[in-house]
Amino acid sequence: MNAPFYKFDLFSQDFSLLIAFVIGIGFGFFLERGGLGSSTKLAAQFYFRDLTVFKVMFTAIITAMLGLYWLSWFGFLDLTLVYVNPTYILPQLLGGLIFGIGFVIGGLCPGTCLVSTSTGKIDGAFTLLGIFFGIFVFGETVTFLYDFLYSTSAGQITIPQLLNLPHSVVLLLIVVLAISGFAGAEALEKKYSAKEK
Amino acid sequence: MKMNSNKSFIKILMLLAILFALLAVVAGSPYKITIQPVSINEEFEIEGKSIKVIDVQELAKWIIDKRDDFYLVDTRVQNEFEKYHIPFALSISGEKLIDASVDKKEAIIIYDKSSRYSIKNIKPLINIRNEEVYFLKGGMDGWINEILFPDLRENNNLSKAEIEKIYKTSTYFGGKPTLDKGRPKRKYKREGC
Repeated sequence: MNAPFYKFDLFSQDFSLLIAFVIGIGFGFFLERGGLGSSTKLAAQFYFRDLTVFKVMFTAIITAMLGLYWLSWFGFLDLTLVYVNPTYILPQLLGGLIFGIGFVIGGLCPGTCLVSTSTGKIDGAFTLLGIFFGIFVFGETVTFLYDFLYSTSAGQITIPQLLNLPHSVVLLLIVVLAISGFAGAEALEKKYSAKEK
Repeated sequence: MKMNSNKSFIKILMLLAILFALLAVVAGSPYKITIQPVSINEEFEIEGKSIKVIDVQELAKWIIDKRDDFYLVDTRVQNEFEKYHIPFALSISGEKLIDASVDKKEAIIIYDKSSRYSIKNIKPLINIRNEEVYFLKGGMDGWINEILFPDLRENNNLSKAEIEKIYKTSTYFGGKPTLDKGRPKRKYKREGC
């Protein structure tokens, strides 16, 4: 059996949406159980008091990265069929900056604001409204933005291609970076939590 | 007590991550079942058979010249093949060609989605057929970006005749180059989030 299952015709596009729905429910459940539906917990990251988000993100990255690598190595997954989002340097830098500002102000990102709204938190609902307002404004102005949106294209590039390093070496570097990051995060949390007290 | 057992569990997970990452360095590339041609001068050997690389412009020329001395084989999955394929291509899923009794031609050109090819997919074909085998550089993505919808907005070095040739080839296959400012006129959907 080969993955990605959808690309190998194991199920239809309609069924893939159903699977996405089930995975989405699971994702939301674990975000909530991890406490990530709370904007105060998320905002604490920017004051270095609680770096749970950072740890959750890096854990997800290394789990997915190692999983994809070994599944492909053993021949269960065709990595060539896994979609790589194209890189547009300046538009994505600006997008990241706007996203970051929104994250700091609202204390929530798109996924966590849905979790927050579903548990009845008012700030989550307002963040969600803000997201839809942003989508509406973008949709109405996108025709004027195409030249910028498609500028500074780097293609469907991956980190091993960019650094010209073997895939497995990049994998090791990211794991080392993540684990040093966890240690650094713990130290920062201790220092800044103590200051608060 | 619970805090301590949590911490030791996290430590075990971290050690496992490092162990799997170190093993990966020894194991090498994860693309065990794929091969990726980079330039058209590159030659490969699979199962002792030499493979050459052809670019999309050359293939377009072969089709426009109505050459019938080659098979064009699409190695993507059936549903992608049905959505769109290069004219005259046969789907490898049909397996019609993986049969020595099918008429021999001069060459077989194989293409996948991009520049990477699944060895597992094409091995049976290569083993049975005696034609000269070519990989299409860039695959279907190359065909879409360079033949169907080439972006000519930044190509200031091209002469008028060259632009006209690209335009003619593109429209011959039902595409359209992007010449003016604005969104590239592509018909395929974007994937991912």
